[in-house]
Amino acid sequence: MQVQRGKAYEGFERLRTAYLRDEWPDRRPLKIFAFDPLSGNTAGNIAIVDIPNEKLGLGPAGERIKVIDYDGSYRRFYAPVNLNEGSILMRNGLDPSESDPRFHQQMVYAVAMRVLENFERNLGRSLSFRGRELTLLPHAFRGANAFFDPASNSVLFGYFRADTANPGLNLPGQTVFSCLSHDIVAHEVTHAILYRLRQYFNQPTNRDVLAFHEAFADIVAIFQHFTFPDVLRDAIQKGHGNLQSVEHLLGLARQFGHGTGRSASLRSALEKDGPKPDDYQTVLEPHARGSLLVAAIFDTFFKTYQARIQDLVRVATGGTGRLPRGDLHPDLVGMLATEASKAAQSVLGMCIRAIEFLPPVDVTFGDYLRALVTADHELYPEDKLGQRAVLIEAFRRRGIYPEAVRSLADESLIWEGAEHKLPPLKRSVIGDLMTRTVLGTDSLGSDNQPIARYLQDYARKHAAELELDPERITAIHGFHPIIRTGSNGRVRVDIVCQFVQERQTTPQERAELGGLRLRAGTTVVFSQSGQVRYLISKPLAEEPRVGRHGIVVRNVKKIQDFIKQIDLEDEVLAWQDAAYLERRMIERSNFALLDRGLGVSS
Amino acid sequence: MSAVAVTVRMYNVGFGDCFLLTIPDGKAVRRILIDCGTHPASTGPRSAADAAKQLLADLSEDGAKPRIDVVVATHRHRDHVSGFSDEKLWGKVEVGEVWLPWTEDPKDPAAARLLKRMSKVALALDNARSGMRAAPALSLASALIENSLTNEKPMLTLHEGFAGTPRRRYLSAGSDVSDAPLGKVGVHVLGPSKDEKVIRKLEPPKDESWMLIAEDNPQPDAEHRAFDEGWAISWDEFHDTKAFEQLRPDGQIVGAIRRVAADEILFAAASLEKAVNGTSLVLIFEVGDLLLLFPGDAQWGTWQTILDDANMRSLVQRASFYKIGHHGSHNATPESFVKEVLAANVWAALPFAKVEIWPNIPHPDLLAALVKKKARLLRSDDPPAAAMPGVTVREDISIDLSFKSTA
Repeated sequence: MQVQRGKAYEGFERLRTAYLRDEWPDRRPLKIFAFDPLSGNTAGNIAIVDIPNEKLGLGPAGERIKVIDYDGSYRRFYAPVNLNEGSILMRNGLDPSESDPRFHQQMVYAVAMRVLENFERNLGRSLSFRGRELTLLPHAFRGANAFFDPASNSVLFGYFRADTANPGLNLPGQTVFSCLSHDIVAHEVTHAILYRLRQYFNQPTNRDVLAFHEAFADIVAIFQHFTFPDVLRDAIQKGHGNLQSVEHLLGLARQFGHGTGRSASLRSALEKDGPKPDDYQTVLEPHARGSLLVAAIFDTFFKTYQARIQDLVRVATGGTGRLPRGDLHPDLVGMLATEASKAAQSVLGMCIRAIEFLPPVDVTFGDYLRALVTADHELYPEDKLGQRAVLIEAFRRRGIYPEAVRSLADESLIWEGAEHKLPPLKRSVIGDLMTRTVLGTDSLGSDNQPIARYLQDYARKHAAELELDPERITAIHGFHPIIRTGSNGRVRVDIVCQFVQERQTTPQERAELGGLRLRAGTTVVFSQSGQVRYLISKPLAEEPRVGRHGIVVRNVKKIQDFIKQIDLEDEVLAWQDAAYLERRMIERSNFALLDRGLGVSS
Repeated sequence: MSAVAVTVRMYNVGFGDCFLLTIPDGKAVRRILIDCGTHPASTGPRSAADAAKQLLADLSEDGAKPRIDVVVATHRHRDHVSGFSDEKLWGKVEVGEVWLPWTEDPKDPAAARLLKRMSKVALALDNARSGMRAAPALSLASALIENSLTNEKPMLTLHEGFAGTPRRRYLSAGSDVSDAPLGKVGVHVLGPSKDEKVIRKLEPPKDESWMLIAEDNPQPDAEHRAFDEGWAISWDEFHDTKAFEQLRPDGQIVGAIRRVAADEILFAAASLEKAVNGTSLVLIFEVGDLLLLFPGDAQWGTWQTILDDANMRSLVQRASFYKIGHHGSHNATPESFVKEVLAANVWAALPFAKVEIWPNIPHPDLLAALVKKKARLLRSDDPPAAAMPGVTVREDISIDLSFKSTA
C-alpha cells in the first residue's frame, strides 16, 4: 500500500529544506590556549573562541587559511584534523592537548582566523591574500623559531626542547611548540597580513622598516589578550584595577621566553627601566627598536583606560577614587573589564586603521605617529577622551619625532594634502569602485584594467604634485574605499590609492643595494567626491637636496649609507657566498626570526 | 747610515697568520713570533705546517740554536694556531715566554666557563650539521665550525711545549709586560678586555635560539620527535592518499623550511666565530719611534672600545705597520677606521689566500679605502712584483719588511 502524503507534509518538507539551506551557523566555536600550555592554570587560558564559520576541509583548510602539518626536519606529516567531525563539533573543538597534533592544527587555524577578522572589522573590508591561501605549518621544523615566509605566503612554526640547564617554568628538556603560543601565532599572522597590506614594508630602506613590522605584530598579538573576557577579569582582580602590574597579560610568548632560558616572556609591552628620550637614537636591533613603538602604544592604552574608569571608580568608592584593600566587587571587576576591553579595541582599532594612512614604501615610526593621529582624527575630530594627546606624549617621551613637522600639535601631525592643487578623481571611477566593494572584489584584478589605466594616467599628468617622476611607470597598489560613520551619524567614504614607482638600477648599484629595489611611492586619500584629502609621499632623489619644509629629500645616497651601516653589523656577511651578497638586504628581511636581529646584539 | 730597527716577516700560510719580528738590540737579537696557523678551508701552495718547518730552518741558519723570545698566539682559531701542532718540531725551539689571551688561563674560572661554552657550541654545531641535507649555507657553516673545533695538539704545544721552559702569560687590556725579556722593545696590550660588559659580548648569549641547537644536539644522531609515531604519515603515504591532495606542500614551502634550518646553523657558526675572534690579543710593539699594530682577528665591535681611550687611540694613530685584522673582512677593519684613524702611508699586511666560498674576504671597500689612504699594501698571496724600498720577497715563502731606525 502506498503511503499518501498530504499537503501538510509537503509544507513541512519545504520548511525543512529551507532550514537545511543555512543549517550551518555563522560562527564556529573552537578551543585554544589564550596564552600557551605553560599558563595552564592561569584563569581563562583555555578559551573557547568564536570564529566566522566557513566551508572547511581536512587540515583544516578554509578559503583563505590552510593548515598543512608537514615536518620538514623529518620529512613526514601528521594526521590532519577534520573539524566537521561530529565528536569534535559537539565539544566546541578538540580539547587542548600538547600531545595531539590535531589540536595544534585547530589552534593555529582559530587564532589566525581571529586575527584576520580583527583586521577586517577595523578596516571595514574583507581581505584576501591576493588569490592565494595563507598556509600555516604548525610543526615545520625543529628549532626555537617561527617565521612568515613571503615567497610561499606561509607561516612556519618550529618546535624545540626547553633549555635543560635553565628551563624556567618548563620541565627541563620538555618540547616547546611555538604553534601553541597564542602570541606567536598572532604575531606571525599579523606579519602576513601587514605584508598583504603594504608589501614593501619588508624592504629595509631605513632603520625603522623592519622594526615597524615587528612592533606592529607584537601590538596586535598583545591586544588580542584583551579580547578574552575571563583573562581580563582575572587580571583586573589580580592587579586591583591596575593592568600594568599583570605580567602575563602584557608579556609576549611567555612559554617561549622561559623555554629559551630567559626566565621571562619573550618581550613585554612594558619597558624595563621606563622610556628614555634618546631611545630612538640608540636602540637599533629591530625587535628591541620595535619594542619602543609597542611601549608607546601601550602607554597610550593604559592612560586611556585610566581615564575611562575614573568615573566608575569614583562611583564605586563614594567619590574618594581610592579603591579599598582586598578583592574588588565582582560587578566592579566586570565593569572595569568592559572598559579595558573597549579601550583596547579603541587603541587597536586606531593602530590598524592607521595602516591606511601610511606611505607605500620606506615607513618610519614618525610616519606611523602621523598616520595614527590622522586615523584617529578622522573618527574623533574632537579627541574628547584625550587619547591623541596621550599618544603624542608617549612618542615624545621615547624621542620619536616625525620629520618635517612644525610642532607636535594635532594639526601639524595630521597629514597634509588639501593644499595640493590636484584635480578630483573621475566620478565614474569612484562609482565603479563602490560597486565592486559592495559586490565583494577589493583588488585590482585583470577586469579592473580601465581603472588602473586611468589612475596611471592621473599619476603621469600630476607627477610633480604627487612627488613622483613623470618619466617613470607608475604601478597602482591597492585602490579601495575606507568606510566609516562620521560624527553626524552619516556614512562617509574615503578612497585610498597607492602609487609606486621603481627606479632602474645598474649592476653596480644592485650589488651595493644587496637586492633592495629603489622605489618611490605616494599614498593618496581621496574624499568620496574625489578631492585629495591627504597626500603621503616618499619621493626619491638621486642626491641629497633640500625640499619642502626645508628638509632633505629622501635620496639614494641615504639608503646606500644605511646599507653600509647594516653591513658592518652583519657578522655573517664575511662568511657568505656571492648569492647571499646579491640578495643580502632581502635575506635580512625574511621575517625569520622571532628571536634574532640583524648582526651584533646591542 | 741608519741601521735596520725591525724586520717584519710575513710567512705565506695561505688563509691564516704567521709573523716573525726580528729586532736587533745591541749585540742581541729579539725575536717575536705572532701566530702560526692555516684555515681548514684555505687554498694556496703553502700552509702553516710548511711555515713552521721553514721557520725552524730560518732560525737555525749558520748553526745557531733556534730561539724565540716571545711566542704570541692571539686566539685559539685554527687559522692562527694550527702550525703549532707538531710538538716535536717546536720542542727544538727555545722560547722565552708564551703569551695567550686571558681566556686561555687555566686558573681563571671565568675563562674556563667561556671556553667550555664555546667548545660545547662548536661540538653541537658539528653534530647538528652532520645530520642535515646539503644546502649552500651549510657548507659555509661547515668551514667555520671546523675552524672553531677545539684543536688540542697546537694548544698543548702552546700551554706546555717548547724548549727552555718558557713562562706563560695570560694577557688582557692594560697588562704590564715590561719585565719580559725584550730589551728595548716596548709592548702595549690593548685587548682583549676583561671588562664584564665586553666578556658578556664574547659569551654566546644563552637565550639565543642557536644556543638551543647545542641543547638539542648533544650527540650527532640525537632525535627529537614531536609526537607519538602513531600520528605520523610518511611523505610517500601522504602523497599517495587522495584525501590529502589539497594538503601537499609546494616546492617553495619545502625549500623555505630547508633553508631556515641551514641558516640557523650558519648564523650560529658565525656568532661563535665572532665570539672566539673577540678573545684576540691586540698588541702594539714599540721600537724607537716605530709602532707595529697586531690586532689578531679582533672584530670591530670588540675593539672599537679601544679607540675610545685617548692614549690607545693615539698609539693606533701613530702605527707605521698594521696587520690587517681578520684577513680583510669588513667588520674587523671598517672603512671609517682606515679613513679616520690609520696614518697615511701606513704599511698594511694582508696574510691571505683567496677562498672561493668567501667572495667578500677581503672586502673590496676596505682595499679601496687603503689605496685612497696611500697605504702600502703587502699581500701574502700576491707579493709585490716590482722592488719596493725595504721589502724583500722570498719566492712564495715569505715577505720581509725592514724598517730603518730614524735615530
